[in-house]
Amino acid sequence: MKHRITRRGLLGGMGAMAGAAVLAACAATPAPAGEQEPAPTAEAVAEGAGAAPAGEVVELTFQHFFQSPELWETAFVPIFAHIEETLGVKINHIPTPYGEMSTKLLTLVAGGTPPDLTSLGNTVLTDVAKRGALLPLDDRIAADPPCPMEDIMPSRIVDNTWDGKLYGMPIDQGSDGLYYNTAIFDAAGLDYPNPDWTWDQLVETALALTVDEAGRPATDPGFDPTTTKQWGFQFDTSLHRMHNLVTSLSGNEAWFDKDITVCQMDSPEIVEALQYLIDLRCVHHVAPTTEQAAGVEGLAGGIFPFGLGYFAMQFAWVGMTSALKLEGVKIGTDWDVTTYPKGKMAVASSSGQGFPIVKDSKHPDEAWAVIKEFMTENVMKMLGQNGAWMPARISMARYGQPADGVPEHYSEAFIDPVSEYGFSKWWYVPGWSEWDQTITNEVDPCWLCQRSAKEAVDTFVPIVNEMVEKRER
Amino acid sequence: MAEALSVSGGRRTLNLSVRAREGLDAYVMLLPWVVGFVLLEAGPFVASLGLSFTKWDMFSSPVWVGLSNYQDMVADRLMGMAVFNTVYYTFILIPLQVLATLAMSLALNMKVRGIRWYRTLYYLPSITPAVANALLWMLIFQPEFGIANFVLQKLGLPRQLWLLDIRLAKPSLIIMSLSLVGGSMPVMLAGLQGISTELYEAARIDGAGRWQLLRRVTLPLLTPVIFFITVTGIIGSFQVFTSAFLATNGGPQNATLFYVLLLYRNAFQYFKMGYSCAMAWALFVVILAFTVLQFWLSSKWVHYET
Repeated sequence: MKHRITRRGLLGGMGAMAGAAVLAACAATPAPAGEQEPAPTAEAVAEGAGAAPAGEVVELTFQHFFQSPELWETAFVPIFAHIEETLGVKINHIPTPYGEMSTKLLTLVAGGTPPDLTSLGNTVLTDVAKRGALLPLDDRIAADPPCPMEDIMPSRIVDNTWDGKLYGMPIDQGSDGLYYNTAIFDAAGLDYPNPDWTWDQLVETALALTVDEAGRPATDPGFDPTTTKQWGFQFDTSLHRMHNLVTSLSGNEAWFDKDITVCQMDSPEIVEALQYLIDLRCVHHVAPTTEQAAGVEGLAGGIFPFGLGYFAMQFAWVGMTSALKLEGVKIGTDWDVTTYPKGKMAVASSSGQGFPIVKDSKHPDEAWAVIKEFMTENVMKMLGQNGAWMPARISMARYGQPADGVPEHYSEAFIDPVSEYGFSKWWYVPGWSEWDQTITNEVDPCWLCQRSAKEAVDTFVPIVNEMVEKRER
Repeated sequence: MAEALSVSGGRRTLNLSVRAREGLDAYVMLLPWVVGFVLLEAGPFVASLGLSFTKWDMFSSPVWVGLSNYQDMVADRLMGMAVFNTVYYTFILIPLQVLATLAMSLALNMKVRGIRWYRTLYYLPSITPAVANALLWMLIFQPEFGIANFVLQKLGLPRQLWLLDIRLAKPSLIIMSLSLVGGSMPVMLAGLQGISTELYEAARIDGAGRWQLLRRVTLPLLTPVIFFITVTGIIGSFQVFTSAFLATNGGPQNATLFYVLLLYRNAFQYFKMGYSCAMAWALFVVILAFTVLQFWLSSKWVHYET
């Protein structure tokens, strides 16, 4: 007997299998977030609805980026051990690179394996919250507050709020300050920066502390900026970080109007401030250009170049404090911090991480318990004491000061300004990621000294305005 | 003519014609891929077509929007740039890739001492993970301490910004990709070694020199292999992503914003998965069209030995 395997038969079989696969894929898809059960009422929360049966150890999943060397062993390992012991839960970690947090969360949720908890920065949190992927925390806070809410920095509450509801519990406060290398200042016989400094003083000092390979300072007519070995000043050109510098220089913090209908970065004072920063790199040569900065970072081998003595001063966020405690940092304890120079406006950034409960969490009550535990004085102290994160609770921000007393002026740089005039960037709304990408793309050539601030602004403002007009509300 | 065969395999005997036997062999060998495709890829493949007609952010329910995603592609201000970059990359890279593979294979087909080591050496970069390769080339092109500028300096030429330069970023990525041509080398080498020596001998007797041997014998008989490398190369380079994602993130000023990078951003950074599905299907159709066109054109330049 002959068995003929026909093409038609094989294709038919393949078709049946494909159909089965499609059905299987459909069956495995969880109910869309919009069709999930509504958030529990305050009463239900208080009664512990959704809690695991007694005696069963609940396993929670926590997606986060905390496994960097300066954070994990020193801060989060003991914190998670403490929380597991206190609450009787087990926390399984989903390590994710910082820049991939929302992307990974997206795939986890879409794949039907959402984490119970995640950690989102204020630049992306509203975008995720708007899409119904996070549980609002208001009812839980009303029923069972983790701490007096007025003790949390108000700007951080705004950062984590979307459409009138709080979606992320503010954990830390990631403000910025001016780090300076005291050894370099001492060697040059110059006074350290202080809160009374002006921008002109900063630039003047930076010129004196920028030195080329031949040892000539930038004030010397023979100075060669292509062979700089030490820069007087460095700053981050990401829009998030740069905003504070531009605001200090321009006196205008509003990159968008309050209703976010138009981009206002083409206002003369903002353009002028942006050009001032560009000139620091391209005219005064006191800060490295993009390629010089990349070169220095490459040579630093993963350590912040400031820690190796490449920069006399650097604007950076509070998190660099803990990174400067790592092995391999050559400047030791020869550094301190202060706040921004006196500009047209006193400024302090509000940013950091919020801990939301993911809407499809299998254990929202236990996840809430973990968040509450994070807000306790004990854990806030553990979080801050090694300089890892500055706690978001006003009364506990002081725990961010490292135990060894370095930097000495921690409070002056990071705590006091935020308490006094910290504000939230209200334009971090759904769609911001795309606007950020567009603006950054057009401003980048400025840092390579290939374009003026005006040229960049004239290019991106019309494009961003078009995006803003079409934004999802 | 189909000749009946008796295949003994234990208690039962199966009589198959040669044609049926060959068909069975082919299908058995195809089976792992078919099973993998059906179980793992067919579902998302079909689903993505449906999703391309929806507005979907992966968190909430998809909403039917008809053809608007496809219409939006026309109005997308970055689409033209992404298509241009991808086409530029593809049509510069592929001819260079074919030429480089051919040259390398001809060299590695010579009977010299240690030839196996040389072949291994040239093949190795192609099995290096794409991420590692990208990182390596980022170091090479690093403007301050990279080898590329070191070489330029030694030659008395001006230093370049490479991946940071709007004019050089795409060529730099093309050079990065050319370092991986060793991957096609075994196929080309097999093609070269499959050419009958009798043909060369006959041509030599007829007075052909080395250039004529290459042009009149080697190249015509390699055209099926060149065709294969060209088709698969174009399919792959239309989907270029990793090098640009890691080395330039689409910059400077969108100079390396390739189609799939734009697709990725829309899907995973801007939460426009429905739009991204439409982009994916548009790309699929374009690749399919190019492939069909190449098969159609192949009858004019590809010679199969009969």
